[in-house]
Amino acid sequence: MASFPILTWMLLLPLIGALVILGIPRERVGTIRWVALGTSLGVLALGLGLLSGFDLSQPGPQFVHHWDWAPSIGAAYRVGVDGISLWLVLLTALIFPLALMASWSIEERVKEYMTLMLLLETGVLGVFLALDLLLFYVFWEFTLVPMTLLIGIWGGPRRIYAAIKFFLYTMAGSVFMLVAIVALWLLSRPLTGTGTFDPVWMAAHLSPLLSPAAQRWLFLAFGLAFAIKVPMWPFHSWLPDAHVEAPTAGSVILAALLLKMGAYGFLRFNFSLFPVAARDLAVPLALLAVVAILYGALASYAQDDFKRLVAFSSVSHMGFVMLGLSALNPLGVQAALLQMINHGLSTGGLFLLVGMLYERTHTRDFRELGGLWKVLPVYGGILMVVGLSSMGLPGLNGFVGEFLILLGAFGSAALGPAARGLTAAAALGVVLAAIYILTMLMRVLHGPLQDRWRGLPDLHVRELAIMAPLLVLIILIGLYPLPFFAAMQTSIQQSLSVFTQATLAVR
Amino acid sequence: MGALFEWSWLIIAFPLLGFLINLISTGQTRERTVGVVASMAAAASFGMSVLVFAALLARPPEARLVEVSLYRWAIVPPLTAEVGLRIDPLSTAMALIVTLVGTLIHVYSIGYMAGDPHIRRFFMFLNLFLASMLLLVLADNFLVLFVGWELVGLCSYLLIGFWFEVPYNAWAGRKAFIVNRIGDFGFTLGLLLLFWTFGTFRYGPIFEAVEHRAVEAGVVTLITLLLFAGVTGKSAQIPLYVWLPDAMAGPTPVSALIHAATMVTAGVYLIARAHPLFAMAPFVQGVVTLIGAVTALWAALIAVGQFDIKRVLAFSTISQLGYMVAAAGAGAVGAAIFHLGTHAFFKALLFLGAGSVIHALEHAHRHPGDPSPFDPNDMRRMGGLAQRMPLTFWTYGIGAAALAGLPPLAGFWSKDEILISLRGIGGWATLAYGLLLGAAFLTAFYMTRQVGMVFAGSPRSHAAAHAHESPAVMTVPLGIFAFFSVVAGWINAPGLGALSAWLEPEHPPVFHPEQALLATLIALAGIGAAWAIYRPQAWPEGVEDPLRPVLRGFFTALTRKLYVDELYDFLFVRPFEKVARGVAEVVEPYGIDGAVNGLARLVQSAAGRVRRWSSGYVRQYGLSVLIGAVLLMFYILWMLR
Repeated sequence: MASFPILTWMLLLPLIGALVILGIPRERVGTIRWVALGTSLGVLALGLGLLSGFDLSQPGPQFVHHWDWAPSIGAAYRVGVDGISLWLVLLTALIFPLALMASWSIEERVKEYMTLMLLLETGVLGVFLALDLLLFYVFWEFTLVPMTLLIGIWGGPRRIYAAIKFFLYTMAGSVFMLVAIVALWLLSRPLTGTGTFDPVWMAAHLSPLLSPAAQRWLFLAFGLAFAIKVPMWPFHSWLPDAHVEAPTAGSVILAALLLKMGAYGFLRFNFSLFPVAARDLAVPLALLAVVAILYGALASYAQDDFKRLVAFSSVSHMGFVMLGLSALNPLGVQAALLQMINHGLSTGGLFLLVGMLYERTHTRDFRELGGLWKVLPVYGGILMVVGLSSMGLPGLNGFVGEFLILLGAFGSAALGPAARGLTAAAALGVVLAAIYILTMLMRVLHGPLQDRWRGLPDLHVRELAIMAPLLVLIILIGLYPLPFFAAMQTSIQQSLSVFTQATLAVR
Repeated sequence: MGALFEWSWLIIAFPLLGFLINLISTGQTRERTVGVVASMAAAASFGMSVLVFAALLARPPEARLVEVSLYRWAIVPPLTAEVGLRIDPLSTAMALIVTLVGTLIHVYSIGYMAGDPHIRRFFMFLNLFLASMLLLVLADNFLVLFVGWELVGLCSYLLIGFWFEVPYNAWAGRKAFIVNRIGDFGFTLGLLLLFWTFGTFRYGPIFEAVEHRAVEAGVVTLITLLLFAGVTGKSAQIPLYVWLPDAMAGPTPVSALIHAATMVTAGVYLIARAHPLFAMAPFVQGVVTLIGAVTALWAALIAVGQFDIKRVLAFSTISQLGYMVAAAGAGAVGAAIFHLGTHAFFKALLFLGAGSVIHALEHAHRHPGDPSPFDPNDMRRMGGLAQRMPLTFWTYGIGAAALAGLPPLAGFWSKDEILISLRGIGGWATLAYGLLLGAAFLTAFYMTRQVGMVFAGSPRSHAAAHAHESPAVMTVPLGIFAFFSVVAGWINAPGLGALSAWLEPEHPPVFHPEQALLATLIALAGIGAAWAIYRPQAWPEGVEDPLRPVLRGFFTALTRKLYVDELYDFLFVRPFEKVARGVAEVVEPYGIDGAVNGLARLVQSAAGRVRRWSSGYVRQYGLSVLIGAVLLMFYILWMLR
């Protein structure tokens, strides 16, 4: 088993699936769909294999597959999974089949659509698996193209504007990351001879040599790329447009996975490579996070478009994630990592539910909805559970993440005297979440039913199959988060200890 | 006997099981079965509570604390959170009250809700409500208590808005949840501070640390103040009581449940539970006592001006909770829990009695097929129901007398104990004592007014004239509750003092004859004053309310609930909406997005001036970004050289 490169197969499988689809005549829509779904289920199966073989006690990367493809410049193909990436990889493996099932209603250019989705899956998995900066960057940019095309071709009325905005905005950020990566490589050359893209080596040997100012600039260069992706306030304005115009599956993948790439980047690279800067910039980072929490929640409340409301709630929720990360303590960071998963489940779920509603009513405008619980009892029940998860109701997953993030931030040494004030302001976001989620539920489900919605069909089997795994996880994580934390514990402890040592070495 | 405690989680599991059974058994189950399953689940929970209580009783007083660990919830250094139960006198007393009252309300609901198309959902929520409250009560740490705390908030939201087709109901449910969450904002901060002060959420170690004075008093003051913010939400105290009067939008059994057993008592329980903390913060104790007492008087005053039969009771609950909060704040935990228990019985009785009246009026109104809008809750359309609904009348009368504090009924004893506990402390407690005496007068007054308007005189509407007594499934629970409303107070009567012996063996109940006499005289005065105004002979036909000409403008203010909702609307709701709209419609498009698009245009035009490119946007933008990046790269390299 050890010799079987399971991670490489996870990356290859969607590519193979995409190739197979390219060979299928475009009229055979059914076959194309099933091949795509089958491929993604295969990836999920590999992911579950990964989970069963994962060693909780080992902090470093596991299932590592290594190939020096360009030793002369120190670039390597190196993939592996550790406690930080494990759940994100599994979330990716889970979300794609669900997104593909939700794409059954796509009738236009199915072949291209499915091909792009599978390419996207490889890209996202690659981002979470890469253990080499250059490889990471390649996968990072690789995700951009299929997502842009998914929005631009299968999107809503303003899809071109949204797609270009999405592309340019994220591109503008990642160019800075490229610059920083090249800079790091150049700096590593005198030490290694060939230069390297290995972040672990850099953290151990290069980072301590960097001056605080250099660390700060590099932190900001990486950070801008990641901040745009998260998105952190005030770099978020591409998000509502992209979400509203994207097809349902695109929104789901965007919210559940692509945004996580940004937060993951902070945790994986910024904190380990530039610990001094991370410590210095923790308070401004947390401040932006708190602004995002409150701003996103307020903007969310004022929306009349269901999808736009969920999009802005994403800004608010990702603010919680960033607050937890900037706490730089085990509680905050572990909770933030769990909250990434939680947000993937609940916001992904909400986008799916918006899509299911839109397919029935062809409107997302609250002013035209209302009273739908009467005709859609199952849909209403599920929307309620997912919505309550999103507003952090205890017993469901969102609470675990949000509450422990607050707990971590409140006692954070990195945030110093600002910790309590920032946390209190963030806790206000929990109240605001109740306001916008409950108002949303009221405007969709409650009140009198309009005549034209009578006879609307409730969820059918395929839709139930999409929602079921999400619901199970929402409840499971809420009631029993222990194993989810256990898997990430040692890795995060190690990454934070590296961080504190490096800080001490410089100071 | 020890093994029994290991099974005490069944108290929570039974109603949860009922919830799950009704969740899974879709479609085919008969309406009756649903209610029976739910009621049996509640009854099983009551049975288990009795067993656990008996097992605890069998132990010597100093050994009446059992901690049952269920499972590890999360370990994230430095947090180790377990789900565990604490079986002690306080939690078992609460469990008994909650499950007994809860079970009876379940049974009553079978009759009241018969024929409702969504009865399955109703009983599911009812079971979940009970389970959540029991989790709250039995938890052995503040975190799990908070989980139950929020879940009862959820269930109240679901049940208040149960008939969600009516916008007001949905709105009222949402209001309840949001107002509770506002209080829980404080509660959450209190929990955070608690954890970073004590390093745990568990009661045991926290109370021990407090006992050994291992923490600063200032921190404890802040913690308790924040916890109390949560209490003002859940137990409907000033300034967050505003959700409770609207909570009657739910079906009447839900009101009974919320007011008596599964919701508003949680805050009082929290103060009682965290008593060791509050005892270390005398300033906060003063605040709690005073807020409780002011709330008691304030709400009793508003109750005088209400016309909705349930709204009178809602304000009465707020007022009575004020008594409990005041007592708990003053450290008289036993008195607070005693009143919580007796109040649970007579308030459930009153709500179910009101439900019986509403039910009867609705049927009488619908019978002749009159399609005109009719509010069956409006006391101005009642009158003369004593002869038509004798069982309801007599039981209601007992409940009203118990609430007014007439001896020897339940409310008399518990209210008396609260008043006594506030004497002799001095300072704010004396002020609170005076306020509570005033509230006692008003309580007797508004209950007499209500009984007079509903049952005395002649009917003031067609429906009232044709009302009939409710079926046995509704009147039997009324009888049971009436029985408890009479005798429940004796459990802690002087000389017996069973409840005090159970909760606080070191504080036996005291009885001062002159205090009892004073309270009784005040109650009689309230009744007399109300009867003088509202007796049928003194009430000319066509007059809406004989008190209106007496109080004039002030009466209008009372009927409008002293304009507090309007005030909050002006101070908080509308500014909030304005800010949210401002963010979404001004700051976002013109500020943030405007800056982004402006920057993009700037780059575009700058690039255009350097050289004319013929292709579309993407390349132009991309290239200009690239140029900027290269420049930045050189800058960074220069910095790093």
